[in-house]
Amino acid sequence: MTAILTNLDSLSAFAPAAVLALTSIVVLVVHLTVRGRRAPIVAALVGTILSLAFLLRERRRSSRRSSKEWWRMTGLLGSSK
Amino acid sequence: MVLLATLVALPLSAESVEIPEEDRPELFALLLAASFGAMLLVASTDLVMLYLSFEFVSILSYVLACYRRGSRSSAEAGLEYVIYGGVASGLMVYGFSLLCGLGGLTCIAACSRPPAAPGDGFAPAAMVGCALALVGFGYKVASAPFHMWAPDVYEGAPTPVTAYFSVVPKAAGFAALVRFLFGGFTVQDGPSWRVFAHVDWVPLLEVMCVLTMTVGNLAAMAQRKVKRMLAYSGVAHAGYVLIGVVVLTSRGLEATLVYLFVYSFMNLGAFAVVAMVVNRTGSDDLEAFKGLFWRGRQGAFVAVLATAFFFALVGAPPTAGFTGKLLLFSAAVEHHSYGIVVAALLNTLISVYYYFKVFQAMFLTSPSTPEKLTWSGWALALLLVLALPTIGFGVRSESLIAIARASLHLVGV
Repeated sequence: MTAILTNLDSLSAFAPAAVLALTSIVVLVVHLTVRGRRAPIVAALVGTILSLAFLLRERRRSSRRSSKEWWRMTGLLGSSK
Repeated sequence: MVLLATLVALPLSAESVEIPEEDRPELFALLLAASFGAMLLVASTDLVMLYLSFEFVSILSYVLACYRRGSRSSAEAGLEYVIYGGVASGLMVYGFSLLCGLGGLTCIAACSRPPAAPGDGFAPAAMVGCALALVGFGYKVASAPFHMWAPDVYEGAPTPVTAYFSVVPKAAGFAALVRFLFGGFTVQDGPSWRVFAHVDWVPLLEVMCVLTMTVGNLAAMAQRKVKRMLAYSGVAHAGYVLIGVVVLTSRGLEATLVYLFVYSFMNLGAFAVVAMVVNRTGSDDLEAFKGLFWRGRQGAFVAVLATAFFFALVGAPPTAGFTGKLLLFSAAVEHHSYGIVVAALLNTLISVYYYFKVFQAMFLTSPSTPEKLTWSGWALALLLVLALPTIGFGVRSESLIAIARASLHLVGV
């Protein structure tokens, strides 16, 4: 895990991917434990949408961060220190 | 793009007649795990991590390719994928080992930087390492001459898996390729990049680019099976995407990302149509598409949307495919790569022929049977969801370019 995390571009890239990995396990568990043929596909879709949500949240955070940095560069926003 | 393709492949697999119902949950898990690997591949900054995620995606893809149990063509697809994948992966890791040996580090950014006093063998060894690594990337994105696996694997795999293969490994492979080449073998110089004098990979990639477009389009012309035709079309599109990489400018990289993004929608849409036709007729032959427009309201709806996807794949206005190609070609013109633009334009003209064959079958021929075709509401809705950006981004492309510009950091540039 440490090796994966240290060799990725940013930690934010790992969160959505980790959600997908967990979902793949959840889908198998659901398949083995829950009756009903729709349950695995619902679990898979929910996991993928959750991963997408994580990705978009990280993207929004980073763009907000970069816009703040831009304002700081223009001198209109005070330094964080 | 990876998540988008997964979101499309999951519901398509849930209704596919090619996959038995009891086998579907494992398929969902495999698709999700492959997407996990693809996301790691995109974000890797280290050669070892890159290789491991590359293998992770490949091994799961081998299993996915032969998921049609009892089908000879599916088993053949899986075996072929394993053999080609094994050779490409072996050559790639050999290239990586050469680069690690030269740079002394496994980090992409350090792999080809010349040391203070490089020996005589440094430049050729770095070039060989880079070329061998390109074999692996070429295999992943299905670019010529490493595309041989694509038609058979696409044909043999279940159609939803083929749709997934046509986008996820390709998009992840291109992202990793850009990170590898721009992170390890170039220096940024304003809005453009300079290659290291000792590893000039641009001519290699230019040859691959033109060869990929030409081979893909010429081979697609002769196909009677739409899945196989789309496989060759996917090869040709890998060539178009490479244009944005070889021009070594920010505009080129933006165009690459834009094209990959719109390609995801239009190609997933085209494969979704094929999957729906296969589910109802049991065949992906051109015969199965005959008179689709005349086979009930839903048949007409599917035929019209299929036309939108094929128009976008050709690059006709006002679709997103046109925007993508326009950006790619203008980046190449800006870089004075006129030869590549002429080759790409000629190839676009060739592609009109084979997409028109499907259009002709759907609209201009009478159906072989008068039976009306119907699909579930969500399947039609999924098709519509894919068609909206395919058209919408063609009409309003500014937002798309802004997204691409903001996303360049995702591939490390």
